[in-house]
Amino acid sequence: MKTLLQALGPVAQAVGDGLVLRPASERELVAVLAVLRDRQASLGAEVMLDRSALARLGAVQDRAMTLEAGAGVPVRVVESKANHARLTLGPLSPMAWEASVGELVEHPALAFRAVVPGRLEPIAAGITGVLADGHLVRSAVGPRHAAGPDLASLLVGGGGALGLVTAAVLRLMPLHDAEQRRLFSFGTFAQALEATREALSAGVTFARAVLRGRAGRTVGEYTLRGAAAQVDRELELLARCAEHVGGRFEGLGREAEVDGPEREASWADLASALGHGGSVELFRPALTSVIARGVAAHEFIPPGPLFKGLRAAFDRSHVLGRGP
Amino acid sequence: MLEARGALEAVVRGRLSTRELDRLATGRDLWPLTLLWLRQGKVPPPPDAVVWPGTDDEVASVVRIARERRLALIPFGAGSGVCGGTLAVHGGVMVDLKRFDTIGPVDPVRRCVDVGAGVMGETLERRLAARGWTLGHFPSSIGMSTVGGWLAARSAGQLSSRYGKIEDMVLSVRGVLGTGERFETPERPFDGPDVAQVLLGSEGTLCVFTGARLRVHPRPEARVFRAFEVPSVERGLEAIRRVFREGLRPAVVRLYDPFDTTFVGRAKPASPRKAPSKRSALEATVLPGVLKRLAIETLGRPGLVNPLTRLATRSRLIFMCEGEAKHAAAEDRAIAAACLSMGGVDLGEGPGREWYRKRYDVNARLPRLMEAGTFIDTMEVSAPWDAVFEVYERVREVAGAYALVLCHFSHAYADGCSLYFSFVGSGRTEAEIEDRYQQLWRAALGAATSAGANVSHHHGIGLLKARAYQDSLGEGRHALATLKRLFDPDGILNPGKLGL
Amino acid sequence: MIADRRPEQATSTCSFCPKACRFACPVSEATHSEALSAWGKMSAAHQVLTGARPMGADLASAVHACTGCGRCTAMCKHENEVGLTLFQVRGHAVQAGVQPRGAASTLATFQQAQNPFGREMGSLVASWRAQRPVKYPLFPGCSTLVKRPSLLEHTLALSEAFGAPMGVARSASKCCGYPLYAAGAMEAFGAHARAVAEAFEETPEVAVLDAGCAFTLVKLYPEVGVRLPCRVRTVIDVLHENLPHAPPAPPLAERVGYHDACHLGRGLGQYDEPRALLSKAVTAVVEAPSIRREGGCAGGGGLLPRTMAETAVEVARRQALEVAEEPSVLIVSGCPTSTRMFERAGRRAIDLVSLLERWVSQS
Repeated sequence: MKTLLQALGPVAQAVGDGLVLRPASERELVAVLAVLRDRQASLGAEVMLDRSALARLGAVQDRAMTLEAGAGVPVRVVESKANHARLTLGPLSPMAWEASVGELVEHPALAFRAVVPGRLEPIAAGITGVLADGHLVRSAVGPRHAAGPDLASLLVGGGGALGLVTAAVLRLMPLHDAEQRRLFSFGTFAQALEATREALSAGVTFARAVLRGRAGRTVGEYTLRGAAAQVDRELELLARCAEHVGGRFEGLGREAEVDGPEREASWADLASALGHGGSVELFRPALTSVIARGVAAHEFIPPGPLFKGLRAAFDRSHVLGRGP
Repeated sequence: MLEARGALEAVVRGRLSTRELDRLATGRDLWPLTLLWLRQGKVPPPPDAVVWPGTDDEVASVVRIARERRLALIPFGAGSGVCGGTLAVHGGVMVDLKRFDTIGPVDPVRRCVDVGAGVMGETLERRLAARGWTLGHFPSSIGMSTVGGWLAARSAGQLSSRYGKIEDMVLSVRGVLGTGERFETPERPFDGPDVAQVLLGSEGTLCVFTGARLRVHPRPEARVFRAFEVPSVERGLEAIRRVFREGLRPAVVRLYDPFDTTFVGRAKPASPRKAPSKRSALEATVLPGVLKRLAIETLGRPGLVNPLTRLATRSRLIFMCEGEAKHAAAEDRAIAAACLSMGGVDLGEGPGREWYRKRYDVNARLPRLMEAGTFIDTMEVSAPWDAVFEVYERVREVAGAYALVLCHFSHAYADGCSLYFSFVGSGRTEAEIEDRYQQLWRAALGAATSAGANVSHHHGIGLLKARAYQDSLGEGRHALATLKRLFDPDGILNPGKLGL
Repeated sequence: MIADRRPEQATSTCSFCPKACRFACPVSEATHSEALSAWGKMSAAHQVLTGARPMGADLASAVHACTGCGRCTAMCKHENEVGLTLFQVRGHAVQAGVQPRGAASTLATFQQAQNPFGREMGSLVASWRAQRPVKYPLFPGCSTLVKRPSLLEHTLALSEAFGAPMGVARSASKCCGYPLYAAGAMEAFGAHARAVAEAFEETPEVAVLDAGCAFTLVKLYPEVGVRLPCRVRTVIDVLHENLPHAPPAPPLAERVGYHDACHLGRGLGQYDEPRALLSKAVTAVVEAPSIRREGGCAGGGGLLPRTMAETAVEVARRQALEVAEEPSVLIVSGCPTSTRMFERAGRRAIDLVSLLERWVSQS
């Protein structure tokens, strides 16, 4: 450990029996990873990576509604700066608010936000990162591309298994005060889920929803946030979608939060939870998946051969020591 | 190739052809440069053979044989690419995937459908429509492109502002890697990177797509069109930006620059189709000769013509909202308010409906223009809102030396939009025309990327943009090379494309 | 009707076209072949016409891989008549002696017997001639006479029931000559058409059972400068006109899928008439995703069953699936050739006239 500390230089600091590495730039992170590879060492409990020094926080790009932030910047700090420009990262899940930018952008579920009609898009419009093999990846900042494979996807949502994000250009949206809730009840939980999917597909973007069984029916409380006119439009749409599948308007609603850890879940997972008499709280509802509380943990699915191959190719020496 | 023929024939159960007809038909795509060659009586180097595998196992066997014999394999859908992405520059075998033509039942709960890579786009959308669903993917190539081609080149449809590009519709993809291994990417939720996104857009250089599970939506109950005339391109762009900033998601957004507006503005209402058509007969017999003379005199001197286009300032802006009827109407009203506040003049629904009716007609102009001795091509890039206008101005400035330049803006997002340039040029000789074409591309793409655009929004890279693409990657080139080594260690898949 | 009348221009248009009709060609879809797409075939034909390549067996097989269904033309902004252009280019294959075997044998048979079956049609027609005056002389077409006499029986019975009695015309012993046209023997077709026109001189109006024959008489004859002296109508058109006189009968409890036959629909524009008849005869009609002008093809035209027999059946199988995915659904067509093709593809199929006859015979 001592020789490793010497080899790493000032970027490393001994803490207890281990080391904490605090690179302040991509170049330093590249150098750190090179030393670890040479010494056949890995990041982990003994050699911890602290990205807090990657703390650059750029200016808000008001027209594109983006903001570049270093991986170590807390998400709340980004939000605060965005709010000054009357922008926001949007309705994130509670877990996301506690993350750093690096953790947010690398997280398999939190890295994506829901957009109309119920689809997902990366929160990061562009990223800079370092792959485990020491090479940089810098994706172009832009809405979409057809320029080859999406190299940013090696890092975005990658769980830090193939490389580490050092900075990200985050997508923002206008900060609006309007927030409204509506409560509907349904004859079955399947109807409640169908109404929710139909609303998403039709163009409703709710910030949060709670579904739970009550008195033989399933109630759904939906929270919408945004510009007042937008919220009004989408509330009307939501009501029509709910009624279309037999839902009944039950008032403005205020359902209690659901306890438990946040997980990315499929709609089958939600059905399973509700079918067993549970309640679910949805934070990033999309047709593809949701982030929810109240759903059971997934069985461990071994990483597929594609992922194994990628890890072997980019992190042959397991320098990142991470992965699903 | 001859040595491998027997083995290949065996695994595809005889579905192999070395006939010149098949080789020539798959040997060129719709890259306009190959149309110039066609006019000169030249053809791109054809592949050595075409095979038609029908199962993933057959594809895997073809790949394994190709690895053993070091044969190039080029995945082929319907050849609608416009960047030379399927040209057999190193010979080899064209892997025609059209036998993967199954369309599964729609899962109404999960709102998805399993589709083979060889399914033609229009066939898929019609089949879905008959069942009450839509993919929401309407590229102007929909009648001539396959699902596999969409996946390989990250295709975008005309309604992408609402439904997204094809990569937004994919739940999982399946296929065969250049190693010969079959794969199917997991569906959410999963841990680790989304490998599907790493493979999409690889243009046949990393894998052969054989199918996908795609998101579908109920067919829209209503479509609401509205068009505006805006005082300038800048005002039009600002109107679009505001619309998206307000959370509105129209399915269609199209802003035509003043010169392009003069063309869309000429659109006449639909008239009943008559056959026989004297007009078509006239177009076919008399017009080519007249156009040829005109083309050389006008399009051959873009430096004289382009400045005239700057005299026009007013732009046409078209929106279409679709979905639940009342919601679409409400979105339309909100859009109208935003556009009027930018000085837009409401033109009603007519121009939008007219555009919708003729939305694929752009393809029909190509034959007459090519016969008239011109070159015509399009360049599509995207950029953040901060850079969009600068990209527009810079490209017009440099490309104007080689061709007439038109542009429209579409595929809008909250953080930017796509710019779609059309170039029409000519010259005194075929050699001069081809030379101008090449210079135009170097200049236009260079200007776009230096002003903040990417190299492609939805046409892909192929051969045409390979160098610019590699330049744009910077150090990311290493990551791409690593992917290539991992998924296609022998470099047999579509060599030469993406600069690989 | 041919917008690009010169084959050179028509094939040039397709060669430079970005395959705008790419998905429309039933032969290309059934064979999964790029070379056999409308674009591929016309590009190949263009090379022959411009002298870039000689007409060989390979190219000949390509220009014969077309049913002439016209679906590509329906998708074409230039109204380019791909099928008819390819039929014209088939003439080069005749001249070069490289016709596909099925086309060559059809042509030879026709030249010997004046019909594609090599049968003596006069005696066949004589057995069907009406014994009393009829309102509508009927031209059943040689395919029906030779292959499906039951359809002829149904037609005659149904016409009686509709109060529009038909009887087989003397001119019915003539083949319309479509096989000559489809084989690219344009001069022979012209001569044949003139001979047929003479045989029609005694008839002021004729009802034609086979949509292919009707299309040939109405649309193709004028292409070679022949105008018939009589009014030509389809049996379906006549029946539709007389539908108010049909005997009252409840609709059959049958769910059927309707196939727009190419020559009846795109060729003659009859989309509503068969549907109006069908809606009276059955309780439920299924429509395909692509119908009317854009409807699919059953593979029976353009000599395809003779030149690419398996492909023709595959075309029919795919169109049957398009009309109705469930095999139990009965497919109805206004064209006897289409019905036969669906049956060859293993599907339950019936001629519209036969179904109508079943409907009225209930009463």
